[in-house]
Order: sequence, then structure tokens, then C-alpha cells
Amino acid sequence: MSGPVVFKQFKYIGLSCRIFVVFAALTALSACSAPVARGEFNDPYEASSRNVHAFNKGFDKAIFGPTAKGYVTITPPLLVRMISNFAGYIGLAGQAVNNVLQADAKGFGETILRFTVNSLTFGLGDLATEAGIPDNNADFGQTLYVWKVKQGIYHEIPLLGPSTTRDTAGFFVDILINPVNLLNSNTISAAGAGLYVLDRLGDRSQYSTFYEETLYNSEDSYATARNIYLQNRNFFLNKGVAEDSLEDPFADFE
Amino acid sequence: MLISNRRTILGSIIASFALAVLPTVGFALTKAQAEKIIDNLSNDIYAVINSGKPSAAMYRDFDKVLGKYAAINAISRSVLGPPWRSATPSQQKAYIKAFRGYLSRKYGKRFREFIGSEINVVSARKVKSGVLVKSVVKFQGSAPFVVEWQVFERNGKQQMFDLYIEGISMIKSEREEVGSMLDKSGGKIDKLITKLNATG
Repeated sequence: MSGPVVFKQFKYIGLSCRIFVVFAALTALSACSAPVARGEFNDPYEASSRNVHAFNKGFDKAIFGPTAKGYVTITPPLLVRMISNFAGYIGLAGQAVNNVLQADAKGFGETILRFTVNSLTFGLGDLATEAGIPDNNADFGQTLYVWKVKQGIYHEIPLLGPSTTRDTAGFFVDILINPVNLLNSNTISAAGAGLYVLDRLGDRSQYSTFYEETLYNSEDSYATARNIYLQNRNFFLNKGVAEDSLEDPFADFE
Repeated sequence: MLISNRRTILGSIIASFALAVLPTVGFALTKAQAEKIIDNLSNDIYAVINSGKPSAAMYRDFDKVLGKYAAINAISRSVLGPPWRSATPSQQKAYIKAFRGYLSRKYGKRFREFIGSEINVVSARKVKSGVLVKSVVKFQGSAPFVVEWQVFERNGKQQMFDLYIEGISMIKSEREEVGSMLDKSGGKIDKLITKLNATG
């Protein structure tokens, strides 16, 4: 299990880079026209983002949701957990790189400690969490935040869901800097991609109520997903709720 | 000159008065008190989810817990925002009642997901409007997650205002949701109230 974050930070272990170059090109293209900030959120391409959202929702309804249900039905819970643990374990390599890039000694120590402890089970168990060693989930989007890069534009990515310019850039860089991908083996990359998909299916099932509430039981699922993603992401980056984002109990509307 | 001097003197008298009074108002709620409140509140929530009652009875119990700890009027007002002002007193009353029921059902459902977990208050910090209490929810075999509770005091009464599950604010989320409901009701509060009563 790689993290408590509800919308898990994008972690992938070896999807073919070529696909992502295409994605990157598309993202870069869509960022060419002049962005205009509107409302509370920096979401100037809301109309086209809503189309992607509709696609993602359709995909979840027809394929991803049912597959997740099927996956946990035919797979023993212990195996589902092992797969999730192993995906998190493999991701620790990239995580350690980001800890270093962020000059986060404590985070780096945690990551190394998690790796060492969980190696006792070949990454299949998560003794580290049981022992109270936190998973810092460092990613390159966060590294960019530490480097004072602005959040940029909110958007949805086909199949992957909500993101921002900074997080999308982080997502691509994470793939490139992940030591696992440097092994340059198609077999490992394919296995990594499979593992990533299974991990996401496990999450979709574990947090099914959350997904269903967000996608199917909210008045405006696009706005809800945006609200949730940005709040949760800011909470992660800020390591807690930022004081100036707190609601004011004394605000009066009388 | 004289006038400006008077103003300065008057100003400093007011300022010193304010300084003398404000801290006692602002710091009346201590971190320990806030932690205690949240400890009691989470114990009550867990008593409800572990009671094994059918959902309808559970949501009624949640409603009681909400009434006991939460600043339900302030929460309802904050969620509705400016449209609150244009509502008549009877609409405001009906809206609070409907919103409270909706909230009990919705968060009751959400908290039911916490069955089998363990919650512990870990720390508290002072914020402008009161105290933010941090608690950690632990599930067997999966990563823990953080729930933060905003507690404030008004007229000597200490109450919970907002709660943040992994950073996601209940009030912000509901403002979005209720705002969308109001839009779909053509901005009519009465229709919104009907909608709230039928939701969750």
C-alpha cells in the first residue's frame, strides 16, 4: 500500500514511455492557446476538461469499475494486498530520488527504512507501515512544488483523471527518472505496467464508496472531483491543511 | 494638533482596552479542551458505527451526535453562503433542518466506512479562529489517514465547525454540492430544501 492519499499520487512503474510522449505532446499543444483564470480555480479549459471527464466517467462506468469489482472477486484479499504492497515497494526507488531532489533528509531516511524493512518480505508485505514508518509518497510534482514552480492549470488526463500542469509534468518526469525504467527491459516495463493497473484496480475497489460518491452521486461530478483533487493535493504538499485555507466560523451571512 | 493628540490618546486607550479584552476571548479555548471535545466526539461516532444498528437508526444517532457537538447553524450558513441573506427566516429555518438531515445521512454513510478502524487524537494547533485538532484513523493492513477537526468557541460554547478528511473540507465540499443543487433548483431555496430532504 503506497499511500493514504485519496487520489493516489500518480505512481506508475514502467508504462511505455512512448505513450507518454504522445500524452505530453497533447498536453503541450493544449497549453498553447492563451490561458485565462476564471473563478476560484485556475481552470481556463474547463469546457474541454469536462469532455475528458465525461470520457473518464464513461470508462469507469463501462470498464474500470466493473473490472475492479471482478478483480477483487476472483483474487484473494491477501493477494490483492500483496500486489498493492509490491507496487508501493517498487515505487520506493523513484520516491528516494525525489527525496534527494527535495533535499529532504528525513523523507529519504523513511524511504530507505521502508525499503529495508519491507525487503524482509520481498516487498509483498508492509511491515514498515505496521511498524509506524510513514510512507511519504514523494513524487516529482511535489519536487517541483518544493522548487517553487507554480501549480498551473487544472485539467483531467484521459484514463488517469484530475491533475494540474505541475503534477502532469511531474508525472512524466517520474517515469523518466524511475530507476526501474533505467533497466531498459521491455519485460520489466510490461510487468510494471501490469502491476500498476492491478494496483489501481485494487484502489478503485478499496475506495469504491468514495469513487461512487464522487462520480455518480454528486450533483456535478467534474466540479466535485476538481474540488477534492486540489484540496487533497494541497494538503499533501503543505503536509497538513494550510491555515489560510480554513473556513471562518464567524463569517456572517445575515 | 490638539485633535490629533486626542485621537491618539483615545486610540491608545481603545487599543489597550482591546488588547486587555481580546486575548481572554481569543484564547479561552485551549488546545487541551479542543482535544478533549474531539476525543469525545470521535468516541461517540465510533459508538454509533460499531452499534450494528440498521442504517436509518444509525443516521438518527448521527444526527444526535451532530446536534451535540457541531455548530450546525454556522455550518449550514457557511455552506449556503450569500443566498442565506436573501432567504426568509422561515426558509432559513427549514433549510437548516433539511441540511442537517442531509449531512447526518451523508457523513453517517461516510463514517460507516470507518468500521474496523481505530481513531486517535495526536495533536492540536492554534489557528486564527480556534483550534485545529489532528487525529489519525488506522485500518488494519493499510496506510493510516488524517482527519482534522476545526473547533471554535462562541459565547462560551465550544463547538466543531469544519472537518478535513485527508485535507478535504466538509464545508468546502458541501458548498460545491449545495451550490450545484441550488443552481439546478433555479436558485429557489424552497426547491433546494425539497432536494436536500430527498438526498443522501
